[in-house]
Amino acid sequence: MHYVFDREHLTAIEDILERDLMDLGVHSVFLIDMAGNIVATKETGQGEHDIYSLAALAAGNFGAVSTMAKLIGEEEFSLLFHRGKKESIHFSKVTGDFLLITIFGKELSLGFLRLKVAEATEKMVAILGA
Amino acid sequence: MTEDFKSQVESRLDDLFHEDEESMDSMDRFGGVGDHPLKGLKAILLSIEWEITDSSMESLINELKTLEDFYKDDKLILTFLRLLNSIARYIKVRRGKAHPNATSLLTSVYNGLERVSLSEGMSRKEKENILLQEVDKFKKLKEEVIRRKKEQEEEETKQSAAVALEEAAGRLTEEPTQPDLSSMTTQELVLYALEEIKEVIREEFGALRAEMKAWRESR
Amino acid sequence: MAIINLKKGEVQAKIVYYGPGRGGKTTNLEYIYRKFHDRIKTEMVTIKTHGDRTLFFDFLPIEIGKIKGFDIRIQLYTVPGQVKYDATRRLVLRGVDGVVFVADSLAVRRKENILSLKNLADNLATYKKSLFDVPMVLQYNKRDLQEEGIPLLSLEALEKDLNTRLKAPSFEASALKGPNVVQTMKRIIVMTIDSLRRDLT
Repeated sequence: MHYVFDREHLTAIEDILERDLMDLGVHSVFLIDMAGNIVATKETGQGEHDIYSLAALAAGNFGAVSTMAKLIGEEEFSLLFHRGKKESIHFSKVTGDFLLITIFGKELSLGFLRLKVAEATEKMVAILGA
Repeated sequence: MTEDFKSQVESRLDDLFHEDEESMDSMDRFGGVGDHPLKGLKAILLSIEWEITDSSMESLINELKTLEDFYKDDKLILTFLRLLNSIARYIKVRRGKAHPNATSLLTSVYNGLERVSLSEGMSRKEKENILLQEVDKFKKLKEEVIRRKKEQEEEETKQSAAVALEEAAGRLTEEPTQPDLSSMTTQELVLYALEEIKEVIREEFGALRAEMKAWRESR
Repeated sequence: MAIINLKKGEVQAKIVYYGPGRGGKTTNLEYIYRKFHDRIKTEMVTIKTHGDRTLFFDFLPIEIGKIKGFDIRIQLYTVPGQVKYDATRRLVLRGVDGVVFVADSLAVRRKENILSLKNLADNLATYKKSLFDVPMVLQYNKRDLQEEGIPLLSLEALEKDLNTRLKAPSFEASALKGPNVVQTMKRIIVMTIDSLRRDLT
């Protein structure tokens, strides 16, 4: 069982990541699957991050937290977010199979980022469902 | 201790135990407002930092209204509150399309307000300075917002004009019901076509102006 | 759930090393990492307890290079083997494309091998997969202990316990010393990529 992404879909996804998130001043954004594989990424700078490890850990983290939610009787948590001194990281679900990971700095407020992530997610769901 | 040695020790201690002013725009900078009148406002802004919803923006605007009443005799604080109100209304209307710095400005202005309200023995001059800094940031944001809107409108106008031209051109290739073009000369036809196109563009501009007016009035 | 990126010409697949606690799953990855670090040029991520036991997972990404015009990236994972970490094992298994079952050849661990294999089957079932449709390789690890006179399960016993119905390729190995570690890995990678072949041509 696997997922095939063609050029058209990937370009559409990358466009959304660029326009809705990177243009906002987000530092890095990854669309990954729940297995830890990378679908698309956008980064400022020369990609200083070890994106493969990040993706694996992000999927693991999100998976672990989702399982905890169910253990305490919640369907799911509405926010998974870690705040750092300079960089923060936000996780959100895009369909049951994919995750959007956003890394951003102090210039951006979490509340506003979440609005934009919701918008971008809606657009991507349309593409991923196709 | 000699003076020199002492200053070295002091300097070393400063280095080791330097408290950096990081995350100035985070709401956690000040411990608590206790039972201060600003407590409610702070709570709402804290929640907005985490999530922006219609109801939280509504609560914010209501709280600001209450506070403006409470502080109606304090012009300095009132100005802070009015700044917050203006930004809040902007974010409420524009939501995801708001300028990214708007939400951080909310926090920045509030932090200024809190410092001015809570600091004992701060001079009038210092308080005004803090206010002026925030007003300055607000002005800059406003300029950016106007600039962005202009760019967007220019883009939209170009697109609308292009679409209008296409439609007009499309209409020309169809058989018109009136007037009777077959009786016109080529020159008359071209002039007629130009008039049609001009009319379409005029209509589009009219619609755009109406939209801009409505937006201005809603603020 | 492998990802095939037609725009970049890249395939990503996930292989999980499963098995009872202290059986040698992490040792397999550590051996591969140690031996081929210069060539692989990626880092190994481990999330361990203070007692050096896998707590969440180990992760080692490997770029195989271009095959049929596609860049193949294999993500190797291990699961924590201790019984109490079942929920975590299930998590790590998500989206798995190929499995290496690392069995412990120690005679005293016979029951644990069988229980672990059953556990794998149960956890795969939560993702509507079965042992029989996921590419799988069996590794009978710790064969080097034979020389030290420690009672090991015979190859026949292991095959009978674990491989009667599966009929998966199996290797006798020593993750600590090296024999058949790489062969195991190569075999499972080939089998996994093979199962994706249809979408690559």
